Amino acid sequence: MDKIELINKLIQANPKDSNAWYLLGLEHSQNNNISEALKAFSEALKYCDDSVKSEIITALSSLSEASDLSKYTTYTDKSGDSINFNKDSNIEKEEDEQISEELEENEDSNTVIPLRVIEGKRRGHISLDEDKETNITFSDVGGLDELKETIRMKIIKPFSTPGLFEKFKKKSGGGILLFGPPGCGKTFIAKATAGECRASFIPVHITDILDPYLGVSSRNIKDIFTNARTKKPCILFFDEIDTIGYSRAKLTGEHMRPIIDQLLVEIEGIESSTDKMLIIGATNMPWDVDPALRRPGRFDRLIFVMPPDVNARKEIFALKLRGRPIEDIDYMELARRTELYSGADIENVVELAAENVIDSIMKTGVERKISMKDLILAIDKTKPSTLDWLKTMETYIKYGNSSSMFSDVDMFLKKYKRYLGG
Amino acid sequence: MRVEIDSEPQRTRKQIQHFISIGRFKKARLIASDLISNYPEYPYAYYDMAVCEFYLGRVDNSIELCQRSLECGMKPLAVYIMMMIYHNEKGDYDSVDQYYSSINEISSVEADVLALYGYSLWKRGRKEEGIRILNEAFSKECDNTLILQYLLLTSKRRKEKNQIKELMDIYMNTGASEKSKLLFLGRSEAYLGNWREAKKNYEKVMSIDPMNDEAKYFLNMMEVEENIKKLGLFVFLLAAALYLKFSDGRIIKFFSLLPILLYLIFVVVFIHKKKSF
Repeated sequence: MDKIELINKLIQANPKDSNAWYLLGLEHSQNNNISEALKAFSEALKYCDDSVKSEIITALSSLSEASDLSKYTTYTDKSGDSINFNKDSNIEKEEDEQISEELEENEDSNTVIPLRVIEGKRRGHISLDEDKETNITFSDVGGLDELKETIRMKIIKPFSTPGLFEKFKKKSGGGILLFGPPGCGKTFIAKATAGECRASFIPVHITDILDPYLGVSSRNIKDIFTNARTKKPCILFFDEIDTIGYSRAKLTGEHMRPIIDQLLVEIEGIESSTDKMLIIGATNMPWDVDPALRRPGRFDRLIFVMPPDVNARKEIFALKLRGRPIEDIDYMELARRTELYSGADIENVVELAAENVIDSIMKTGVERKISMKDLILAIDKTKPSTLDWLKTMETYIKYGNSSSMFSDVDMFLKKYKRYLGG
Repeated sequence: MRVEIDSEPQRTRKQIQHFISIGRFKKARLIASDLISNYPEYPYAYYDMAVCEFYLGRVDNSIELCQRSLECGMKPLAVYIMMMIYHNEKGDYDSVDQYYSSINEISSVEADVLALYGYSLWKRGRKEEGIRILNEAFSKECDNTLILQYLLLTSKRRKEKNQIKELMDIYMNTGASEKSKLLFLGRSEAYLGNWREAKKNYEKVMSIDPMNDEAKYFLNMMEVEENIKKLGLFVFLLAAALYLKFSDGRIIKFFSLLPILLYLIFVVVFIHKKKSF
């Protein structure tokens, strides 16, 4: 017990000493004084920096595993929704009420409440249904062989077989930014990457972060990362990263800055604390992503998700026409005629063709199937939605002097210059 | 309708405000529209959607939505200010006056509202009165970016170069975003006739926001100017060649002046367009 007294003195001298709190927690846990240990760890978490945080969380996890205090565990799970996100909001509310009642009871009896383990209530709503190992793999992605190979080399191999990469001090975690025109399957590719890595997939959207209360949005980011660290190996996927890490050069108000700052801090934390965690960001507006996020150690690996190639388009056509009445369809010909079309554009073409066929059946009363002619007519009526994006990207590269960063886009633009009116 | 901060509509509103603040008006509008269908009595949803509609160029819809937000119990001050902006954009100055006096009745007028009213007076031809009110607003809040922008517009028309330079200095010391500052600089330099400097600033704007319409327009204009210069040499050479070819005294040789004439008309039209930037 002398050791505990000594640590207590240290704490009295400096109540914000996270190391002292951590040591106190360890001592209490060794003495099987679980409630005191939990209290000490929660204090340590309050004042610690990122480098120690993972150790404290590990100690906390082992503590809850070791202890047979089902009541405490229940409390921890309920209160620590920073760790556990899969609560239905209604159930959560009922449980919260129950907890507060129990809390009051506990206060009366002067018992230590392990509810304090992780302070603060996460207000965002991330469904744990999505937080699971994804079954989608690259075999589900049609075509795009070049892109798949790039992802294999840049992400999957360093992540799943780190040996060789470690030898050359090449990191296996960190951030990757997928960017490309809308409707080209960035989200799907991120899921497939997670599937290939056999890692948990944790999708995050701006709606999971924003909160009307001041300061809670940035705390939500912190909680998301804390949660992800407990689920390694995992892939944290930020969809529409530009809405979260919006360029500060364009921000007029100050409300977004804490969120971006927190995101930067957490990503740096990943860099230093783990290599079995990958952060993937997806955006169709890379020019809106804060440049600080693209610096080394953050989202420093940029991958261009280009519009589907001819094989991918062929497969998308086959997929979209499946189950519809069709006759004599030459998928390769359709794919050839839809250069630069995104998956969404192809879907639109098929819908338009189907609508036209229905119209003609209604008018003539003669039933017929979707033919090549209908599809070609629909293609002639539409144009690829990716064009605007590519033109904007061309401007961005031209004026932003960022051709080295976006060299693959630059090459792609040169290849398709004739479509861009250049 | 009374709504707690930690309620579903408020949380959704936070998203709408976020998307508005980063200029994603279509997305914000979509969320606002859903919010209205789920909570038809929630006034802020109409108010926010009005803002989106305004930026998407549908001013009439904005006015209608603002009225709906008032009907749902939104506090009138914010709505009246927005109504002033919308009616000013529409050119309905009687309504601007009406809302301005309504604001006066319920609250002391803020500097930016005063500036908006001053600019509205300026726009409708009451120049002196407008400038007096704008100056009054400026003396109330000299670092308000909105006021500075209105002042820049009026200074341009009055060709007050010193004031433009002064406004540039003041604007650089405000809390405006980098992009906004670059746009202000570009605009000011263009008003001063420093086209090269203006071009540099607009190029910087494009490097951080390649979708910016104003910068795009300006840079396209400069590109056209370059091409006109190149075309000039060709036109004069063509005219000279034609003149020499028909120099045997035939009347047709005067037709060689036609390309020059057409070119000069083109140049005059372009200069007029450039000056009206």
